[in-house]
Amino acid sequence: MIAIKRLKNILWILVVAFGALTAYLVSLRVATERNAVQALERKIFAVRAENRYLETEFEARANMRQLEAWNSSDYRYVAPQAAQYLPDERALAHLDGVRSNGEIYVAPPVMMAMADAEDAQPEAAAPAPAPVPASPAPAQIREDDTILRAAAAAAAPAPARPRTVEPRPARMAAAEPQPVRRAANPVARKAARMALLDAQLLDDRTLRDLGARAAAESGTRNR
Amino acid sequence: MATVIARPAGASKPVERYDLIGVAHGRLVVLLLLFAAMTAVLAGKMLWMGISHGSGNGGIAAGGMAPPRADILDRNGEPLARTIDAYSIAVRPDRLIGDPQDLADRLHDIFPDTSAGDFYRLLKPGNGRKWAYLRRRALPEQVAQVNALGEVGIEFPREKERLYPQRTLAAHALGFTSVDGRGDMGVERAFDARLTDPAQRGNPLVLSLDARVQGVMESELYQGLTAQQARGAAGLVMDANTGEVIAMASLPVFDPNKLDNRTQDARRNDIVQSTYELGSTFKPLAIAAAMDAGVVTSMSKRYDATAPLAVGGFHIHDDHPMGRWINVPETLIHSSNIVTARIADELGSARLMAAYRLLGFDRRSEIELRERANTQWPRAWGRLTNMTVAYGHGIAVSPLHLACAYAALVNGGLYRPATMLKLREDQIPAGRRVFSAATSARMRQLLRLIVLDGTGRSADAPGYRVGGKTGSAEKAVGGGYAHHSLVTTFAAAFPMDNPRYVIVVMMDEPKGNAETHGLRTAAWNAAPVVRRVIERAAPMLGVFPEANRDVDVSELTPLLAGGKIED
Repeated sequence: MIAIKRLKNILWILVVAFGALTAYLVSLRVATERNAVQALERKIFAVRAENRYLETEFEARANMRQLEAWNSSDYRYVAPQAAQYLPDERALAHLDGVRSNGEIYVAPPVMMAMADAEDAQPEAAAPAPAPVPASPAPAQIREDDTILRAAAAAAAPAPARPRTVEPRPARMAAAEPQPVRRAANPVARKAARMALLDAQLLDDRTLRDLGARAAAESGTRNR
Repeated sequence: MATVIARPAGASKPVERYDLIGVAHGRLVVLLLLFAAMTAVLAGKMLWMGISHGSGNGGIAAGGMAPPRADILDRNGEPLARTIDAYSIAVRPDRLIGDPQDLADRLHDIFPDTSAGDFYRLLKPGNGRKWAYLRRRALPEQVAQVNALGEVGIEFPREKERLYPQRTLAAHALGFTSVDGRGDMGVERAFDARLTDPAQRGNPLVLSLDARVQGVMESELYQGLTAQQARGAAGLVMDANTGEVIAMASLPVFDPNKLDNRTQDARRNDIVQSTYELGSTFKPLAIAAAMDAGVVTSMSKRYDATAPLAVGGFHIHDDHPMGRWINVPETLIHSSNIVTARIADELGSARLMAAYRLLGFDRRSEIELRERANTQWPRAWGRLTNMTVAYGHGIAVSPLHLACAYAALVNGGLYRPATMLKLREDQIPAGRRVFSAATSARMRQLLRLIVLDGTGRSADAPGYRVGGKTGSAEKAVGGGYAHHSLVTTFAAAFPMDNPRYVIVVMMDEPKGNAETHGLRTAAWNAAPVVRRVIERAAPMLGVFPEANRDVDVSELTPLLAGGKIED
């Protein structure tokens, strides 16, 4: 009985000692962590100070006057003029200079130019010109036109809007693409956009010039 | 039988033995207690360290971030003034190993702006100094170069230094700090308490200045200054609706990082520290006052400008005599002194004085800067003074006064004090009414008309709807006027359909050049600077040019065309 009592006391002592030890170890651990955090904070502080120093150095080297000097000596950028600003999205859409024909957004036909070129040089066409390597453009355009027409047919029957069309040769008039409603279907839209691209790259005058030059070259070669 | 004789003295022995054990016990207990106490103290100390150590120190680490003096930022967060740990180079002459003369020569190679003799004087062992600065502020490369000399007597202490990364940019507005760290000029002086307050110095002070606009203003002013060989120039951009100063430039400039006595004169901030008779730029203010008072009832009302106006032995002339009767828009467009004087005479001195008082022309500007000059308010406001003051002679104010007045003139008639601080929406002052809204609207048209058809044509930045007024006044020197030294001013606002910014450019004694045909009036020097500043700075301020938009001045243009019809 007494032995158990003694043992109990020792056990208590052990439990208390263990508890105290654990508590101490925990606090020790906490202190270590805290020290690590503090070391990290000090490091952050040092890095921030360094950052600040470098940032200030950068600012000092890239100050306004220096930038101005570089601009006046090397880059020569000037402030954009009023004409270079666009007031709204509508102006941005009109930026490429191609005007849509009312609701219908189809580029002027590019084939016109070739026809004009032939009309303008009838004497060159007369003495059976040597086979000029055909430009792929007309074929491409015809293909586009067929797509356009197909798209127009597929779309809801478009109301026949009166279009102001300049007088042009009947042969070419046949190839005139039908008016297509904007956003009729994605194919038509894509085709219209392609045609627009063509119009931008090869507008009437460019093609006419090309045609004239080709005809003139073939003429000289024949002579 | 043997007799055992025992000593009788044994009676005290057990007591003594008992005592010995007791003493030993007691000593052991004391020792144990001592050990326990020591352990307890150690454990307690450890626990206390573990618990309370961090909380105290974290605050120091966090507080360590706060610089001894708050940073100054512009409205977009660009640092304009900072306190950094800069390198300095110091010497202990008694610890030097090398030959001082040789060392001085090599230091002179690294720092060409200090002579070898000056270095030698500092390095010489017998000069009585134990420690001296070779350089208060040095670049890291220079420190590396000096370090490479391998001299143990030279030290590189890191010190807190006030640095202005933009150098001369906005130097007059920012000011500088003295060696002991007190603000001595500009914002540094005006906000010294705020910048050094321990509670607030962690937060940077955000100014209303825009470093980009300031840079544009300074570079364009400098170009105008050199082209015109002017003595000085000053420029100001102000938010017309809040009173925030966006750019404040005064030429010549100084570098607050490198102060010396040679820059003493350049430290004057002409925008707030100098007052000028600003001439014709006052005419719109006087005419607006007359419109508010009901003296100018109609824009088409004509006034006699056929001959110089004689008042009390003094003749008021026009620079470009019209020789006919002209109406109000023509008065402003041709900048007629005679008609402005006539209108002021009709208005009367009491009402003009009241209007000028409302515009704050009788006292220092309200801006926070401490170097504000007092205006030169006429001592006796007689009939003649009243007339000359209407066209800006006989009264001298700072360009900042003029900018505030123009802001009130165009923004709908509300005067707001100028400020160097960036204002939040809720901090914008309500302002006091100086002009009626209708007068302000009419003045916007008239100012736009001056730029479209009048003396301000060279300030017309296309698409920005600039409106403004030129002013060329002779400098008052020793009681009279110096006929060949002008102060030319252009005060403008843009965009005129909804004014957002007021801009004032002033040139001090421009000489004119071949490009301006030798002409020295504001239309030839101050106005083109305004145009270039607006073209470059307005997009930065969010004002974009619109080619097909303008102020409707159609109701006023017929009045100009009808000028040929004589009464």
